[in-house]
Amino acid sequence: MIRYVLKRVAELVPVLWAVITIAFFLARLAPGGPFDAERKAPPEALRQIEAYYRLDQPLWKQYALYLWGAARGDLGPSFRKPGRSVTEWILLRLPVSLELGLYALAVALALGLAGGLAAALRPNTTLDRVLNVGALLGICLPSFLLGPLLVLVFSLWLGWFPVAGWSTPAHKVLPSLTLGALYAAYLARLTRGSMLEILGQDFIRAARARGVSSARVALVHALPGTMVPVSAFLGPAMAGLFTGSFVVETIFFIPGLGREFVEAAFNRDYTMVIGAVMVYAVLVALLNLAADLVTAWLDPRIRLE
Amino acid sequence: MSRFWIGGDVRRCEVVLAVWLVSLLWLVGCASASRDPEVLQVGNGAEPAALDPHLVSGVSEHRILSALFEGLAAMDPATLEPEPAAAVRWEVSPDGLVYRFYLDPEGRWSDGTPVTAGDFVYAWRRMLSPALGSEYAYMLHCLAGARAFNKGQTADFSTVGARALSDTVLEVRLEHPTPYFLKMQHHFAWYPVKATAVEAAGTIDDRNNPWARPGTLVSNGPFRLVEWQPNDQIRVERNPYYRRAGSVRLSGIVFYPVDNQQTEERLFRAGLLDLTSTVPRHKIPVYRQRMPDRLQSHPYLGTYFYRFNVTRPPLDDPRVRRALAMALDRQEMAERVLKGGETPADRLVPDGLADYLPPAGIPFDPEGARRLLAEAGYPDGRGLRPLDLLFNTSEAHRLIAEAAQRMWQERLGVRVTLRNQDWKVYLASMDALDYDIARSAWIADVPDAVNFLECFLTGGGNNRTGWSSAAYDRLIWEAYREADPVHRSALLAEAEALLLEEAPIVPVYFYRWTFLMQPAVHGLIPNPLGFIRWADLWLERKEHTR
Repeated sequence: MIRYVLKRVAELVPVLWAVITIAFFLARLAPGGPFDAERKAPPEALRQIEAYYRLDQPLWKQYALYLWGAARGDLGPSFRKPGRSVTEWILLRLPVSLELGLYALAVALALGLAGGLAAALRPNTTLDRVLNVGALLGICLPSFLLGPLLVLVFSLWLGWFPVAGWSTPAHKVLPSLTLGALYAAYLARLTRGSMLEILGQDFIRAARARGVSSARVALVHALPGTMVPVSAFLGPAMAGLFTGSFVVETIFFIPGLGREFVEAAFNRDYTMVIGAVMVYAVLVALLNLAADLVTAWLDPRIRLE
Repeated sequence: MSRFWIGGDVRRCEVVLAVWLVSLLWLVGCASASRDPEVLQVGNGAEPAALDPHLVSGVSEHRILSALFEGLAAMDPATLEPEPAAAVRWEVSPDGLVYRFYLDPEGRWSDGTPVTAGDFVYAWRRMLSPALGSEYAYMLHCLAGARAFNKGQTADFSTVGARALSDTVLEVRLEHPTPYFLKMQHHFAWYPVKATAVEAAGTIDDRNNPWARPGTLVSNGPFRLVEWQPNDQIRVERNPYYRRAGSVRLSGIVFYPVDNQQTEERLFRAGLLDLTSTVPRHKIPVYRQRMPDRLQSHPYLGTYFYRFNVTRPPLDDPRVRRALAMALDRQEMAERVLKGGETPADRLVPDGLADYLPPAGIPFDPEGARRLLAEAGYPDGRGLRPLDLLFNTSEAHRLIAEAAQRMWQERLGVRVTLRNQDWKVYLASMDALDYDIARSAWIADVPDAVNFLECFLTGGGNNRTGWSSAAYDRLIWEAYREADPVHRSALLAEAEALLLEEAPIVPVYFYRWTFLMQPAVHGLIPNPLGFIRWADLWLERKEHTR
């Protein structure tokens, strides 16, 4: 088990190297540079800036210098935002995105699991159909529509929650709902399907024959099995929640890493882009590892090698 | 089985429900937490790249810096004329080359120490340091010797025309008479910085010197920096050491970098912003109809125009360019396509410059345009290859481009294909002259016609059309050196007439400064440069408006 974890973590190194390399060269391949502007700076100023950021050196050398820096934990200065390093930006902004992701995950789990279980325990009833429609809506409504819709109703009409921002707990409700809705919907569908499948299996029938109560059958006998596909889904879902928050961060004016990343990509802030991509790669890898571990723990048929 | 869901412990359900309701109420309570009514809440567009006046270039940074710093002279928003600020008075030599500024002896940095003439000299030295690579350093090139110092041709700053004669007297020598020199002083490029504050955090010419942050940023303006939460808020409070601190009525300002226009508008609607940086285009008619008192729309010194790539046939023929320009119905564009109150533009330099008499503009004349096109050998557009029209991704640019495409097709038989690109790709395409027609804009940072016209000097970084005219260059250079304002204005008007005749560009509309403002905000004087003098503002909030 520990050897397996260590092996997976060790595998992260070549993955990171590949990610950095691809991000580095893709960023450079994109037309335009960090210092292009509508109001063009004089050529001598541009030359000085490029020299400062070593953009005047051959690409392979820049790449080597970047790798050497990254290996020592130095992700360089932000090109577009002088005065702060990329590491500082990431440390400032990542926690916000993680917090948002966690709340959204809580929303997804609470709504998704509850909805899915309720639907599975009363299949083909009105409740099931209502939940089904709700889940479909959750999947179909993109967050750039759902977010403003929630704001319109709960902030501007009812005045319950702030329109945007990220300071008090109240600020965090609507963004978490918006971000979590899609995953809640998927989770509800997944839980329902998985639960129904398990409820039809022999060991459930045997338990019922022994006179075990309905609640106990559902929660003690069926639920752990239901969780296997759910936990397998949660790894990528969490990665999606942590890394896919750009739209929600923009709509709700949340100072997270998603906004920073997209802005950096638009601005060709090379070091910032690579730094963010790296963080996302690590997150995805670690979350997938966590999901694998949990799945193996839940499902005795899986052995970690 | 089906009884499981409701068959559970009813009391437990109630407890859960109660807890949920209470926490909801608590959350709602948090939402309506009150704020200091004397603090202005401002939507400020993009997150500032920095707060170091020597390293920034954007409007959002200018807004914040103008609250933190002040230059030698300020600008009267009503007349755009210079007025005393850090300097209480000044003398100009008869040839317009030497300025002597007398600093306000009451001038203080936000740490309480006096602002001296040497601080200005230090700031300009830093701005012009080649290694700093300041993108706005060229604004200081009107100082004698500044260009050579900035290019690294000399390391001796005493060759530059800025000298502190005493702590309160500053002498400036210019390269050539610059009639708008005093008007430039309100621009952040000229603000003073305090040497000890800069060098406590790093070297004078290090781009990554982190001095411009809360705690270390020392400024001389009406407000001082308290907090900077990146992408969240920048908070400033009244600077108690400001030389006229008694006249500043706001106790502070919070700048929110809300880059999404829709979000900004929603924050305004919820009463959380007093001022916005802009208004989503589709919301302008709504506000005009329902809340006209909140909608602000004023003339602005900015021009939206199309560039023609004159290095590519058929646009190398001025008649073709002029024909395209004359066939564009700018009136219709402004009134039926844009609908935001924009002024149709037939010239490059917008109205509103007191000392500039503009030449005749490009007329809307489809008949004349057809004749010109036929003269150039393309009657009714026959024989003309399709032209591509480049613009950066934006709903408004697309609307305008589609309208232009239709107008040129219908009136001249010229086929135009639209090509939209991401911002940086679009800039790279323009620089590489990889386009036929390209959407562009110019916003003045100094209220002077030359600020627009010098873009089209031969080989200039902002020319981006390949157009070059010796006569035009000569007129601009003569205007640079001309001390007499009337003759200078005539030279510039002649240059603009030439530009419009040759038509490497076609103006489309003049911008407006459009934003939302709560009725509680008072003292804001609209002006074509779109700047706000924060020290003049005050708030009269009614009780319970929040």
